[in-house]
Amino acid sequence: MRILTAMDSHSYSRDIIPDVARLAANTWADLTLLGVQQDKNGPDRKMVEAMMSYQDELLAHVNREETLYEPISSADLKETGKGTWQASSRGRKKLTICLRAGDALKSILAQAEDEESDLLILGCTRGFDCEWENELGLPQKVAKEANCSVLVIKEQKKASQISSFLDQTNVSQQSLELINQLVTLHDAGLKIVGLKGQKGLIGKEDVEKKMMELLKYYNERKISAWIKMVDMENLEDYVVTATREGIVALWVGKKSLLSKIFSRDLVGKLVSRSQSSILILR
Amino acid sequence: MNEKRTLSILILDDEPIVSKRLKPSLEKRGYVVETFTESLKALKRIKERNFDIVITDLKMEGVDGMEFLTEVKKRSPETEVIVITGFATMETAKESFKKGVFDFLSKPFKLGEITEIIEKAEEKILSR
Repeated sequence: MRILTAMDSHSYSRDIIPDVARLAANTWADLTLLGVQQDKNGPDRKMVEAMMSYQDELLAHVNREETLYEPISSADLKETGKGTWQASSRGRKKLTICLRAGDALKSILAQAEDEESDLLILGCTRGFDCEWENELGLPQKVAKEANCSVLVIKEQKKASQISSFLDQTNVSQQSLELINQLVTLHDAGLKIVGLKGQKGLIGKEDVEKKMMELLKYYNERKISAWIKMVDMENLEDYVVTATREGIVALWVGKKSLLSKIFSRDLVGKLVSRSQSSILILR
Repeated sequence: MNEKRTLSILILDDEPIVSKRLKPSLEKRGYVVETFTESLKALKRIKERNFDIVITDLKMEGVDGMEFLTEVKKRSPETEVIVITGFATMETAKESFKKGVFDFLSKPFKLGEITEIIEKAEEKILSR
């Protein structure tokens, strides 16, 4: 698994380090820490210091029992492209520190594309209208535009419940696996939310069968999972309510019915309205 | 000139899609690949012959991946085992390494990631 973590110079970026560290330590992922700066002439000294400090903190968490990543020195940062400086270490798994100069949204999305990241993580301010590096709405835009899954961490707290909105008929194996990792990380219960139309379940027999398969899938893996059916017309409100109960995972992959309900614009709004962390699965 | 040795790979994962994705790609690269979705059948197979590389999931019905990899290493210590799992924890990763696995990969993973690990395992095997 490849995880990209976008970090700015604010405290919420430091606050997500324990979660990133646990996820990385659990999954033995190749991990990249990305910082974005304005100066295009060379690595910004303050940003480099911040990234090195984040690295130290991350390694202190991850390498507590096992050396998973080798440290990177700031002197190793080399220009790998116009306005991009990068250094990697090869421990058991690959750790990369990268600085990109320019527009934050474009830089984060470009890095995720270049690395073919499975998961992009970023923290942001709490409450509505989240900010990142003083830019209002950037996490929403990242969640909206990215082609990979995005975890926006608004509050660093242990979730006891993960509500998954999956479009049970088409959900991808990759999305189920990412939810598995999140459930393991938080040791949380999993609420699987199914969709009902006006006349009951959409495609009733197929959906019932798929829901039961999903439940079986999780129960066999000893995950405490249960099903909740929701009217499609109330879905948006229900998703927002669920963000008060714990983490929400929303599958909006190409084949997902939810991608038709939750347009990319609506995904952005949802991240903004969400009161807790939210995982957008693609 | 010596001909390159053809390596054999056994893949065990109860999600059929994993084998479906991996098998054709690995065969194209010249490996001989056998796939299993049931651990008991895979266990029977490793009693019949040794494989150069074994790729196994951890959480499965019947014999779980940890027992399976223990059996593989007991029968054939030279076999390089790659563990893949959708429920990774630090403990399972540590236990896997204690048992001598070559690498540990969490799902979801890209085809490129696992082929890179297989190539490294191949290098190790061919350098012996």
